[in-house]
Amino acid sequence: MAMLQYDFMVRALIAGLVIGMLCPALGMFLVIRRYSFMADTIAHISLAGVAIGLWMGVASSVTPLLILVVAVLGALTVDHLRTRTSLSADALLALMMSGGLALAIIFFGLAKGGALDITSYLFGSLMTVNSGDLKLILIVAGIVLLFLVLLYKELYFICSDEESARVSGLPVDRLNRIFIFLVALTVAVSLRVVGTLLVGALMVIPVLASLIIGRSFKQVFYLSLVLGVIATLLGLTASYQFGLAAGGCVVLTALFFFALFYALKQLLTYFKRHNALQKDKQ
Amino acid sequence: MNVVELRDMYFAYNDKVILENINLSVERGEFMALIGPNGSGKSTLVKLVLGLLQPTQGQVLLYGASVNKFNEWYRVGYVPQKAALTSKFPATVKEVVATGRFGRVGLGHRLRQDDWKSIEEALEMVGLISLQHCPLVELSGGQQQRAFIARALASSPDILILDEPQVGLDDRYVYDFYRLLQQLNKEQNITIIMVSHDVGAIGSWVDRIACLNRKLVCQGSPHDILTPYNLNHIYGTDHPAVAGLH
Ligand SMILES: Nc1ncnc2c1ncn2[C@@H]1O[C@H](COP(=O)(O)OP(=O)(O)OP(=O)(O)O)[C@@H](O)[C@H]1O
Ligand SMILES: [Mg+2]
Repeated sequence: MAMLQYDFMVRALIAGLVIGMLCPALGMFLVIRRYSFMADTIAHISLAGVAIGLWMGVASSVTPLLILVVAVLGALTVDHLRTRTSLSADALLALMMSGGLALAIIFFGLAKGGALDITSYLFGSLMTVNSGDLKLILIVAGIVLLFLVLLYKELYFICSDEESARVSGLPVDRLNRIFIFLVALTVAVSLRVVGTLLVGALMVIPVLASLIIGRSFKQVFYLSLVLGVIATLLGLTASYQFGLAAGGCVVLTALFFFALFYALKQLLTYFKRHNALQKDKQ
Repeated sequence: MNVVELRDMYFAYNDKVILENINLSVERGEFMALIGPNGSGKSTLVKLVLGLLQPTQGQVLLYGASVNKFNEWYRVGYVPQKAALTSKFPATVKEVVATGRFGRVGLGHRLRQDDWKSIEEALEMVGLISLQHCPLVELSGGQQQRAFIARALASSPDILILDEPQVGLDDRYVYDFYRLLQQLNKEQNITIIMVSHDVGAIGSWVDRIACLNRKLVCQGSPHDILTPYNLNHIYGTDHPAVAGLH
């Protein structure tokens, strides 16, 4: 573990592991409700926060807070429109995503320069996570985990059947708002680490992979956390060894697991069917 | 005491009036069937009782309290006409049935041993205990419907509201199911409101039948209501059940 002798690498690892676990934990509820693109949407809206910060010339230490605020505002807008309009999930997310990106482009244009900063938010730069970033990540992780432990059962109920959850007396609208707030927080702090383009992937791919083999909600949930962590570990190691972009390596590793599980499942189905047919013949 | 009471209630979607001047009360321990043709507003009425829709006029009372102020929802078990579960929802039968218990347990609390016992009892009642660890998506339509019935039973409700629960159940199980409802009604004094098109069969099980067609057309004992004249009047044409009645 030669890579652990560098402070920046240790920070990258901690940040990566925390986010690798947080993203699928929230992603689970998004994927099942067919809001897979929620994280991407909030990420693109957050990018507008980066651009606005750049344009206003705020210190780079303030930018993460600005992103947080913009992400939360964007998320609450999405939630408001979700409940008040009859737009379908994909239409709503497509609208908001393009809107966020358009704003970002305009403010980046107005800001001129600062191209370096943009790429670190677009593609993520795990290796440059400083202790301030890490602190913010850990605080957000603490908040998100606390809510998840408290509300896991309720979030599961709502994503299984929103109407029945309402009938059982759950404050569904309020819980939805809390949940989307947690997603916004997570996306905002993940932006620096895995980048705008990949944060959605990290929320969704471990879950999709787990869905292939999990047989209960609980199994799928915990498996996706484990996958998120493993993909981060392997991805980061690969990135360090071969000098490749960290975010890309992490997400490709997650995709690899998806492909692996898919192939295994196909193989298993094939053999099961084959065996059943053999038995029939006898 | 009236468990459910509707007073001069109207409901409209946008400007389309769906329910008109409904006055209906259901007493504790009653087993009532709600019948009426497609589109007559039965599911809408159920949703109004559950507080999922708000009346445009009039009042909905549950246990004497306005439905919007009612806060003992764990006392109500509901089987929707179409379960909203997405077709690929990854959960076992037991996990789905367990959600029925959540209202009793309360926000932020975990299910305890006796909660799991109620959940298993509910599974037992609908005959799904052997399939409890099976993913719901691998069950047949009728078995899934039984899982949703078990979900409603898992909260140990005082009142059961079922919207065409027998759809998809095979003949033998429909009989068992009505008997189960009757047993819950007689032995545990659970109030039951059941929407049904099964006019031919329900007459021998329920205490009262209410016929809906935008208005509450008539209500009374099965004997008084299930006459050829009434059924023709409600369903408009010669209902197949009418022939079997006399
Ligand atoms: N979301 C909606 N928006 C507008 N109109 C609706 C909506 N839902 C139902 N309706 C209308 O309300 C009327 C009553 O519908 P409802 O579902 O209550 O009928 P029902 O008696 O349950 O019928 P069925 O036997 O087919 O289940 C129908 O005419 C339907 O067109
Ligand atoms: Mg209906």
